[in-house]
Amino acid sequence: MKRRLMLVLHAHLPFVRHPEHPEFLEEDWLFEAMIETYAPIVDACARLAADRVPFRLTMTLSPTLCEMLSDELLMARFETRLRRVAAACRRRARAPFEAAAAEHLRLFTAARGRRLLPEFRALQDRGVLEIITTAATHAILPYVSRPEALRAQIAVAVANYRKHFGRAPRGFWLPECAYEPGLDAALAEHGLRYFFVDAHALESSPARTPAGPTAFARDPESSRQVWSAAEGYPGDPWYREFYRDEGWANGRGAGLKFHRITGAVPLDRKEPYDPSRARERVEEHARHFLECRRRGAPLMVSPYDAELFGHWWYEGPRFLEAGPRRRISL
Amino acid sequence: MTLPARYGVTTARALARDPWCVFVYWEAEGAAEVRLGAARAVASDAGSHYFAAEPGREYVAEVLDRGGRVLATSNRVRTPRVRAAVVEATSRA
Repeated sequence: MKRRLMLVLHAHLPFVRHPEHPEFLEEDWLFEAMIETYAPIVDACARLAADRVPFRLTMTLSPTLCEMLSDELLMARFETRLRRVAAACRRRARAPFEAAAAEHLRLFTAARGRRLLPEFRALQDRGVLEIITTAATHAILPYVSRPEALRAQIAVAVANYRKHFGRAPRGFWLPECAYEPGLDAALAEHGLRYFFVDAHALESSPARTPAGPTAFARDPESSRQVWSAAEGYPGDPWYREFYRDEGWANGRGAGLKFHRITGAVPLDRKEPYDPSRARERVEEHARHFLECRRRGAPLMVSPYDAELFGHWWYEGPRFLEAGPRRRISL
Repeated sequence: MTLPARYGVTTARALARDPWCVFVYWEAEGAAEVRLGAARAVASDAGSHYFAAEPGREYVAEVLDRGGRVLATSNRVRTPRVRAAVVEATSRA
């Protein structure tokens, strides 16, 4: 039996743009995700495409995120932040953190001067990436109280997608996978052809809904392998520690995470991060993940929050890239 | 900033939290009781309550005054099933 793995990354951030303040803490959410998740994922996809590795990825780019990524004020602020964190990184690039600091400088340099939205679009136009949309303000659709508000959530999302990507979207991410009967018709009305539901919604997946769009259910096993704090790959002792930031000052981080997870020890006992050892672990985990899929269903749908890859799990984008390069048949 | 306790609008809204629970919020001057199916809760003019419910059933909440007069009626809400949808062979994508 030939099996297929369908990776879906859901990238969404709430709209945080505050021109009334010179700096605003929540804007860091966007900047951190750009540095650690969006740029590295674009780069991983571009490298795979350049090397002609067979690979396709589905990714939501939410309307609020698209608007922020194309906002001149936020993009100018992003460059300012990049300069600041790069300078802070250089100041701290001394033993035993030389390797970790070099890794971070490379990351900051790679994010400089980027226009990520057109880059995502170019990947879609090359057939590497399938970009889908989601509710305009990420409303949990079964809880939207008025039919006109529900239609607006979908219609605004579709219009926003057209504006940024030059064509109509085919797929839709239901916020929190929240579905109720009737949503299939609302999606069909806007030309949407597929969406995703949680594992417990369907006995067998995919399934065509009465109104036409296809519903894909989440594969629980592949999610657990990546998400679980106890068993998941991101908790490996060689991976970068998320919670210790060498640039932390005045309640604000700089994203200088120079330690590795090490083990179940307090933050002040963490050991220095070793990027080369972490890369070895990524290769092993990617191979393990794919080999485990050989026991799965014919089509395994594995959706994750995009920000897990890179922001929370620093090595995540490398994991995404390592899998297809191994060309393991499922 | 604190949100106001009341908005001066008579309303009742029901939301299915899961197969066994419906959340209801309301505002109605003179409210004394809120009903959902056979369940009842003591009400003040504005408030909310989590009602026990059964899977796969429809519910409508009612807000009543002391005399049993209906002041507000909620939307109709259906609780989710507790099992996966069985997909007919003909409807497989």
